[in-house]
Amino acid sequence: MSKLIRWRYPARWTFFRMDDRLLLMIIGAIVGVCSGLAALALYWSLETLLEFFHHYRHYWWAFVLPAVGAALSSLFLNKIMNEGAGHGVPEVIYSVSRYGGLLRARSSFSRLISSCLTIGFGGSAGPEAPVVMSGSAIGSNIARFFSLNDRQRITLVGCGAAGAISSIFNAPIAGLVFTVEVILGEWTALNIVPVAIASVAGCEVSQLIRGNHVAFAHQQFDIGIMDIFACIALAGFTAAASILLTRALRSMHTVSSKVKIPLWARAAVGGCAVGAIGIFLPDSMGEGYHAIQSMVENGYTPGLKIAAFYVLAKILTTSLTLGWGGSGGVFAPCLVIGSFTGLAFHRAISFIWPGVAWVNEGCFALLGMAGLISGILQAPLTGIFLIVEISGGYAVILPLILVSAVSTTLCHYVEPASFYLKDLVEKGQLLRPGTDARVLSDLKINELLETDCIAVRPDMLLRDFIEILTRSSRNYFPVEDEKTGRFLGMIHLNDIRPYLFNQGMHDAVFLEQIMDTRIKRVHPNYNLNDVLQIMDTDGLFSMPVVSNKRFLGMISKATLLDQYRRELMVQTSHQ
Amino acid sequence: MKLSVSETAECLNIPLSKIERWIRQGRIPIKKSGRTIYFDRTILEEWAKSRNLQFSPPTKESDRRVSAAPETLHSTILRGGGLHIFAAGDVNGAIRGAVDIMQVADHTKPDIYEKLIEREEMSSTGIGKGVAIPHPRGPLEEGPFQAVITACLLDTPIDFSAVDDKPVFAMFVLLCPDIKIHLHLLSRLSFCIRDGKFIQFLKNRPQTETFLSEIKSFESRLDS
Repeated sequence: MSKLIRWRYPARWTFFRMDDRLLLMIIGAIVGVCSGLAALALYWSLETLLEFFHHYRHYWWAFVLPAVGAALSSLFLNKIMNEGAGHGVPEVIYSVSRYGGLLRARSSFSRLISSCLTIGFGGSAGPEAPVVMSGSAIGSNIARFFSLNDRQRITLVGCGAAGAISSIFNAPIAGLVFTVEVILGEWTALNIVPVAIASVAGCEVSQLIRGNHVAFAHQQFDIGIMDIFACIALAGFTAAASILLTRALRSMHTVSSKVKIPLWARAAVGGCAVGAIGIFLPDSMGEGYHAIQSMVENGYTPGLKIAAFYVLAKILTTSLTLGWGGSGGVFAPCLVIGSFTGLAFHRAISFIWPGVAWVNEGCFALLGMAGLISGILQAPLTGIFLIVEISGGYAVILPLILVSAVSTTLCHYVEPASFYLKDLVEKGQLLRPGTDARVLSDLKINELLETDCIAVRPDMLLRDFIEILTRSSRNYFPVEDEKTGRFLGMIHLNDIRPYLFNQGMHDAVFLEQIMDTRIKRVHPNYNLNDVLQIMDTDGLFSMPVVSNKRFLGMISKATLLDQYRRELMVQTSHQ
Repeated sequence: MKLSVSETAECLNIPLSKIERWIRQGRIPIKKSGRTIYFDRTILEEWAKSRNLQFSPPTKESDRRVSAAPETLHSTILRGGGLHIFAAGDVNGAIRGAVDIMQVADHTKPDIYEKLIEREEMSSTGIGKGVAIPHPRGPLEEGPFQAVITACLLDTPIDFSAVDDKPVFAMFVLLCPDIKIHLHLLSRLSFCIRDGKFIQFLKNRPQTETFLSEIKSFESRLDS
């Protein structure tokens, strides 16, 4: 038994006492392998399900298949797993910033199964966000198993996310960049090394099992100056498509939440609609990797109008699937929409200027993907590195950077927060490291309490109070009931200054007559942000902290500044 | 050197709950032995320095108590040699006489005399009812380093141009190492002098022992 306990606390091994970086690297690699395996499991089960249902697609009743899948996944998440719908990335980001990366153990497989049901039956969604969620949950729970502290746990959550992304795309740098840019929001040497190792580990696992195939390798791209100019125009289209997708998802969500039927029925309604569209436009269903594959390899035959129509159809099916309660992410749909946008754009410009020697349409499909990813996630580096890695080279790096940068900038004008962060920003829950919101959320009121106030009784004469005044160093005096200890009110020296020197009042006034009973008070569980807001609107410098009708102490701006500065110094210096 | 969690909180001057949170979040370098957490002082000092945090080990409990022990009239008058009685013709003479019998190092006496006269020239220290409290304007550089009160009774009352113009028959010369003790002793002295019985008692020229016990009883009333 004692051996087991020793084994569970590797931080105590003398080997790791030297530096916890070594510990994080090793555990990070383990996490990377585990989340890589989880990603592969989802990938394989999706393949199998899609293969299985392929034979039934041509039946007339096939349109109910996505409905069944979405309903099942909704039932599974809500009733069995007791988790909310959605893709999970905001939950991971919030947990990283608020709870030191604590995630439930069941999250490590719940989204895998639910998204597998949704996508496998034909719903339009991506497997990446669920994989990120389960990878992060695996990292978090491994950290908890080894009883690591918050900082180490956050790094391991990042390791899980990186391993998952790099495994599913066979793209280690994209995994690293996505994690740092979207999940952690912080580039420090302490984070990057373990995350990079996890990313490589996840990628290795995928290569061992699936074999090393770079998705769209052996493509020749001869990019001319005209193509560069065309890229800027393409970025405009991808930005428009991103905004359209974001808005469509949101409005679908609002519409569906107004329908008063059970969650699983909602998901079924959305699934039916997707299935109906899918009868006419089969490529708008599922996660759509096959469509991307054929587009990038210049093998996609339908013409300009159909491609343009597919952009809208995919946006519609994705928002119907996710907005009505299906489970999955937007990563893969983004790639599909992006490649359709690039393809349609290429066909349009070669139709208008047939004489110009444009680069092949596969290149534009890749650029369109980068544009969509950058626009939706507002993470330009993730878009760039993902495309570089899945296309197997740096041939397209110049137009890639251009499309990503322009698309991100344009989207930022219309939608200031990215798809993943939007909900968090609206709820004020985006607490990136080193920001004011983060420092304020980390500080707790009971760390700021000033307890050197002298309590007085309500039936005390002003004369006796003056006696106490001579001994006190504070300007505030809480008035408490003698028997029950209840907090009744506050005496502030400023309020009673005029009476202090009036001898006649010394024996005529009781403290209960001069105390302020309506003084604004705060509870120790209050958010510091709210407390500061109250202080600012009322022009206060200190307030009493009252819990359960008992006075605990004062909280003041002076102490707050002192502690805030210390917290900031400790949080922002990395060595 | 090992430091416990609560000692560290004291050294960094932050609440205990904050240290506990920092440990949980992994923001502060800790050491573990078994289940207990402790800090290594050198590592902690370096850490605090790199983050610009103040690291000040608390002063020893016993040192603090000595400096915090308040002076009393009784102890300072005793230090000044009890009650002295002599004759003087005018203010300068009275102060000269008091300085001569003062229980301080001889080489500081000229300076003390000068400072006392200087203060007297600004405004009289005769606070009424025939009592004066000569004192320098601020703490003297060359000592004394402990508060001393020289209590004097004059054979014949002299004109001190006091606030109530009454001739002065009793002087308490206050020499204090800092302003705080000066104010503390002054407030105690004025409490005694405000009492008519005390003035009457002084006029009867008591012995040193009875005088000191009277002072003691006054002070015990003040402290109660």
